[in-house]
Amino acid sequence: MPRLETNADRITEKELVERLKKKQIWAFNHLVSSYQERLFKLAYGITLDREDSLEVVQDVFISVYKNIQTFRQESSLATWLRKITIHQCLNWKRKWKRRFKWNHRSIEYENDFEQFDENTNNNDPETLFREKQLEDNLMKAIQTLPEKNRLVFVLNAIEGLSYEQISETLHIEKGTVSSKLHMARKSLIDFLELNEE
Amino acid sequence: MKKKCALYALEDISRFIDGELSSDQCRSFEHHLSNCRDCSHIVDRYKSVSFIFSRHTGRQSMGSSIALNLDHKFEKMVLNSEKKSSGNTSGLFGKNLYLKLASIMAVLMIGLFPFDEDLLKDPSGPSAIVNSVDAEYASVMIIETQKEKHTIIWFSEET
Repeated sequence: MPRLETNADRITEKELVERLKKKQIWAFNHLVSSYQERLFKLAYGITLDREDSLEVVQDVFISVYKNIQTFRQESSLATWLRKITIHQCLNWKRKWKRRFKWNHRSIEYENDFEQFDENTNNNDPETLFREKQLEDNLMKAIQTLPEKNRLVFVLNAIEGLSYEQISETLHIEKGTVSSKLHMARKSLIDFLELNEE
Repeated sequence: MKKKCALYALEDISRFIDGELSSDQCRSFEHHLSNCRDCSHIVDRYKSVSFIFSRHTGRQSMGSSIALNLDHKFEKMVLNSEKKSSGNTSGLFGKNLYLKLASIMAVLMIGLFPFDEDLLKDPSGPSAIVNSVDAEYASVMIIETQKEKHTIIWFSEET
């Protein structure tokens, strides 16, 4: 069934921000439905935990509700939301690192073989198994990356940001982005090769 | 990771796959790639880690839990902020009528009765409001009597 186009679909970002500043519930619901998936993926890339990512994204939207008056529209709404999400994720990580949760792997992550099956083109069980193993190892490898390297990698791989955009988001030099991204990739490949042997 | 080809550094290969090399560097590296299996292998591996990670993240389903939870939270927050703003305009001790009346009575008793000589000899009214707290849904006032020094706690709840 084709989706009906409402006024909500045609609203500009400027109008949305104005409505958010007026604390209109409709505007907040629109914001949530427009950005929740995207922010969830980013949060998941950093936390690697579905439940924690859901909490982080909820906190992001609540933070937006409380602080929307401070948003001066010098950057886009997406950029502002991305920065809040990263900040919330890092706070989450620091909080849980103290509780030894950072290296925890969730049960759903252990049991997602069927989900993997649905999304791969090759249905050969051996290939599927090898791909699943590679993916598991990669997720383990990502957990071992230093925080900044990992963030740079996540912003590049998930958000598809350029070096310039990552540099602005994380307040680091463009050259640093290049070296951290290269270090992250090299560490991941090294980890995978070590586990392949 | 072992790399035999010394013509290009790993960081250059990383920058190449992100489109961050200059157009001249890019052309030159593309030409090199067609002849170098070593660098081609690294390009493939670098691309594959980003692809697998992005695919894994994309498969994580969020569902509608965020939207559903936040619907109620936003409504509650809006209502609370409206209550707060209307409460601020209701003057001394907030919006609670009973607390206001009690406060006025207490002030009158403290302010006017000491001028009555009989009362000065045998005081029966409260001597002072020790403290008063006006919360969102309830209010508390602590009053101390003059003669017996009894503490009266006046609690009022909004219905």
